[in-house]
Amino acid sequence: MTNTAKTKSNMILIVVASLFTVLYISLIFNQNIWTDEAFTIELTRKNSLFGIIHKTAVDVHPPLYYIIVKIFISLFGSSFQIYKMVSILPMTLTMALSVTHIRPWFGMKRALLFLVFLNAIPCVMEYGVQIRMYSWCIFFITLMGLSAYGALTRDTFVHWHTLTLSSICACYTHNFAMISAMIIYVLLGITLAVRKRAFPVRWFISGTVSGICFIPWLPTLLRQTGSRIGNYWIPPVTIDTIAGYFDDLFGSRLPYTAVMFAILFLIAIFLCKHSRREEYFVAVLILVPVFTALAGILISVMLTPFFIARYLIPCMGITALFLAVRLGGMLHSRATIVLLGIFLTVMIGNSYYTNYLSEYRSTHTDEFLRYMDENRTPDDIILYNNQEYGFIYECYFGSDKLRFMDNMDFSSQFDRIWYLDSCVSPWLSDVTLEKHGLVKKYIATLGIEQNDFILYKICKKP
Amino acid sequence: MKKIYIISAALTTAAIIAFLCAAPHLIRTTILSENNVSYEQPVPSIAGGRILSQQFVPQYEMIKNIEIYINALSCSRAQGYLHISISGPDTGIAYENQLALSELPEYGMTSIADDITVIPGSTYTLSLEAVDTADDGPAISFYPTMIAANTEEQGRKLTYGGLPLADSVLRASFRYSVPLAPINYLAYCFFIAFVILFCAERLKK
Repeated sequence: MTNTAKTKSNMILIVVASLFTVLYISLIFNQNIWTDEAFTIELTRKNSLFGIIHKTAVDVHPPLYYIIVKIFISLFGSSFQIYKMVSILPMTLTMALSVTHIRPWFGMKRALLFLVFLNAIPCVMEYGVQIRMYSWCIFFITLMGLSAYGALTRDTFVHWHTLTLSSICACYTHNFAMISAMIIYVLLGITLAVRKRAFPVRWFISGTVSGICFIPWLPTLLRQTGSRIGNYWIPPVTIDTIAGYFDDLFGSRLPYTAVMFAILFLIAIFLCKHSRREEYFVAVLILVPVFTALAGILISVMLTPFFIARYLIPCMGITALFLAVRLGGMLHSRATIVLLGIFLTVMIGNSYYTNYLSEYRSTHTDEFLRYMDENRTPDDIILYNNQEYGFIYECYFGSDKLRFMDNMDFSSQFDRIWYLDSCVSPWLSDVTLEKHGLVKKYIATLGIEQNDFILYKICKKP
Repeated sequence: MKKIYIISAALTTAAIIAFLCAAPHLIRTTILSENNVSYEQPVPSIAGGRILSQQFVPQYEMIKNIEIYINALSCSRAQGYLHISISGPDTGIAYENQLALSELPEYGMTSIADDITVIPGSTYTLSLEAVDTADDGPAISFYPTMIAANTEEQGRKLTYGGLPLADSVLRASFRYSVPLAPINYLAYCFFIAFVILFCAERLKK
């Protein structure tokens, strides 16, 4: 390939990756957050870097993602959009791998297909804009998979170094990304041993360095796991839940999307051959999500339910790589390229539209916040009775004027109370209001996230 | 090679025609219409002829199911059944079903009617009665109209034992099965065409 052709190919990939990044950015101009996102916001707004490490040690996830978020919000402010941009950044970095790794190693067609497959997988766009660690996991695991391929085929210091670094980052971002990273190491070790018929020393050093770097967090991980046995929120793993994993990741609002992806996987596995010998390692990489799921199921069955489908999202980058490399190598006629291209474009459109509806149309949040902006004064109190959502409300209104029902003193000084009644206990009786000379007026039925409530205005009786 | 394309084109055309014929029946999506959040009240018994009836106006042609909130915690479920009927605009019975109380959950949203074809925009009446029960039977929940009525129940009557329950609607959700917009079929058609052509090319090699 000439330099001009390389530059042209890279430019095309950069333009496509930029367009996808714009699509992601277009999904963040809303005020929608859900419980886990509120957790991220609360943790990073209220704590220093040290505090974050301490608090994540008490929770179930490792601290790297929260540290990254903390650095970004310290530099750029803590609006919801900055938080969401922190999740989009690794998606762009993952797409950049098509320029830095995939095109040089597998060619332009497969690099472009990688971009398209990555964004056509329905769950990727959903989690690519959430204030959670999944998009960072996708980046670290994809980089690790590609570095493993580089280490296998080129055996350079840079690839071993990147492999080690990306595995350490994956381990410190999500526990199941750690399991995926371990599986990549095992698959690489077996491949090297079989291929070279000797003990893979560099692989051993890389794995040992990764292991040693994770040792400081290991006691915390074991303690976290131990403390959750028998009392974790994830439901038990059954045959139905296992059968549902694939649909959770590849299903969308368009019926049978998961079936179409399943057919593509079958074609990629059984009807495609690698065009070069070393490419079989890319085929081997598809075992990473499979073994991660098996490990998750095994842990869930033997210890306590710890695994859900979204813990496979870190593997979606290498899944897209697998599909792109296997199918891309076999697309020889223009007709098949065009047909697959159109199909995947429709799937991206479908994925985008699904996420657009979810981000902009699925809740009453914007409507509620707009009403509060127009009507609430600084001395007004916001009262709520659904305790679980307290820390979500706090992300929107701060804690100064926010009161949970049990802690409300109706005899204190206030102009008005905005009461978010989720119709759960504890409820506010009319007798209590009467006693304090107050009266409530129904405003509307609204909500934040999936928590709908009746909004009442409570004021002094005229 | 040319032969491959001709065979693939013929197979694709046949497969797409078959798909387009079957698609409106096979590939459908669901739309859920439910009440807003509110405090509910129970009708303590629908046994002994105290029929609970809710008028509703369906939005789409095919109702996949209707769910209501049942509380059977304090009643015997050993015998008896729930009689459900839906009468149409021409006063004829459009749907009838019997659910044994023993099959009901202790409490919660419960599907009471499945796969009903209706005329959108017409007024129907859903009637519920507990028959042959050992006691008062299960309680059924209702909501205040102003806060919680769903589109189907808005402005329609809820009656209990023949008397109207003012400003109230049955706590109910309507799940419809609707065909996809035809534009969505494009995805399936391109997929079918790709799979057939790709497989044909691979098998040829």
